[in-house]
Amino acid sequence: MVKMSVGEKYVSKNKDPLIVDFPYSILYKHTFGEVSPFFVGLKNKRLLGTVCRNREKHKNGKDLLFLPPRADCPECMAEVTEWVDLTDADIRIYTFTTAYFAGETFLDRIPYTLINIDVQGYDNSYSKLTSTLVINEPGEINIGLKDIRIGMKIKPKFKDVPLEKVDASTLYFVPAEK
Amino acid sequence: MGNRVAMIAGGMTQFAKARKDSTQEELVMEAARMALFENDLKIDPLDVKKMIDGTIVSYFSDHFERQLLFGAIIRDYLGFNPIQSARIEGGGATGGLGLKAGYEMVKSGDASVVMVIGFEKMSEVSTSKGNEFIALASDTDFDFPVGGYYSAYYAAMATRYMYEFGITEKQMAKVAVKNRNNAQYNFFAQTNSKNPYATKSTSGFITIYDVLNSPMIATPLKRLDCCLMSDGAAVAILAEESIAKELTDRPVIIEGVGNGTDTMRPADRPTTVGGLIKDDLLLPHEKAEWYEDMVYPGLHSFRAGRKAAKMAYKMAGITNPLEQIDVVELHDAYTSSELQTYEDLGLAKYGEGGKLIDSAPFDDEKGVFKEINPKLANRVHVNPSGGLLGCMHAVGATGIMQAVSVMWQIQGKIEKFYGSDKLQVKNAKRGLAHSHAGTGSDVTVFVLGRGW
Repeated sequence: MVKMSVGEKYVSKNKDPLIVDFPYSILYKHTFGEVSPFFVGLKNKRLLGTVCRNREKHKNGKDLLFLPPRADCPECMAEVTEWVDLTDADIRIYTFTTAYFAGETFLDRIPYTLINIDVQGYDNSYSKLTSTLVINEPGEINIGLKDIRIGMKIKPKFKDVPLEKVDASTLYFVPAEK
Repeated sequence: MGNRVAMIAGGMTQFAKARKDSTQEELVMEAARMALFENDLKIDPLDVKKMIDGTIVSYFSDHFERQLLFGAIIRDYLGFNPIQSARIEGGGATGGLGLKAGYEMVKSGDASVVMVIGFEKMSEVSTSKGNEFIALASDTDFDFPVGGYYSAYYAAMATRYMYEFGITEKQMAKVAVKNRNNAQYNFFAQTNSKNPYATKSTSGFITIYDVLNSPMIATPLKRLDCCLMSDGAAVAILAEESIAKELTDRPVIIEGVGNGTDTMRPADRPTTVGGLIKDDLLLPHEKAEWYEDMVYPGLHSFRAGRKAAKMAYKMAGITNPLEQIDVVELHDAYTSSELQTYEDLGLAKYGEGGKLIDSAPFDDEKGVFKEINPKLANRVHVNPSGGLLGCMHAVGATGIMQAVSVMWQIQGKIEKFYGSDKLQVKNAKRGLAHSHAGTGSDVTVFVLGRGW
């Protein structure tokens, strides 16, 4: 007799399960709370972050830029009320990937490039925002997928959408150099 | 500090992309029955069951099956009412965190024998919907809406990891070859062609060329660099040490437990020069001068994994993991993250994860390792089970599958359960199980050792 492993012994005998359809959908009414100005900023074609200047209370001794913005500083627990406009800042690619597969909502957009950004002039611990890079926008610098690189200069762009449809994808980036 | 806690038994299902033959609770029963009836317990399994005075149910998502409070169904189905229980969830580390909760139940004295039950059924929605559900475990205000999903987050981290340390796609691909080919000797594994539930087109042995030529998912990660999605369950039974010794001749002691955390968004990982030292994360065998100038954790390293390892090593008295650990089951969600994790666990210096995989003899022409389950650095075996790349990733069950696999390694029972002795690490005395969530938001490390 052939010796059977425990795994083999436990194989299910059922060959005929009944499978039915089970639909489900939801609409969420979501608040952006105290960082709402970031999203209103996107509608107004501005890129805004928040800054906490209690540098002496921060682990690295530096001012902290929050992008995604935060209304409260995780290091000194202070409320963060200062907004800075980064629309014209020197922004570089910190890292990137080009996606050829995606979750269901984004399947029609592939391939697309996701980036983490690096805002020059600030400590980038809390500000490497995830966004997308569009490399073939009419009227902007166009490059190939293979030209995308860490350290490359980029600039923010904004989709025209009604305020109630604004989300993080209203913002995207385009190359600011070849 | 009271008695130690031991693992005494484990069970798991056949893993597969889809287990349409069984409901979730039926799959859990399969694993629980195996844990009680197949682990050479010294008294009647049903008497052991009567001794169980606590359960932990660990599962990740309420979305996959559109069922909240699933734990109540599971406990009922297994006949564990009215004893105490809690549901544990922590993304990909759900299984590891569940095991830690079970350990704590015993350690605190609230229970003496605990069954930790992990499960997930991911096949009731399409693969792209499943990816979306998993992506909901990233920041849904800022990362998910821009098209973020887990393979892409890891891919962006891999891009930076390659940039920082010169890691290559070939080194990453080798991880897939190692783990997937190990899985061919583990009957439970989803990619094992002998598994009756295996999808034939996505199972069997692979070469490095298969990995490098597989379809691109998110640069630099290709399909075979990415882990599986699975249906299945895994169960572990823990007991206070003196009871454990009454129930089994081969108790496996939980010698060390560690847990670390990091930010949800990769965007918010500190880029501090010398951050590893500032966060007090140097291991006993490492020198501060190695890392004084290194940005840490940045997007290239998992600080939570290092924190968990440091905590577990301290408790277990591990001063040099590579010398003291025989077998590791770690969370290889992606080939890149296995290499990154070598470094977090101190099996390789930061930046040298690629060198560690290169240390195993490789046949460049055939594109496979010269041996199945190769030793790294001529010392340690990593992911003999096949890991998440070769065996399974049924999220809530994963960390438990890994710990049970390490337990069977130490007990010398791999052939009995996997159906082949090819993956048995000879004379394994001490092992490590690593469970990991998000892009490194939650990590657990267990050091397990022979208790007889």
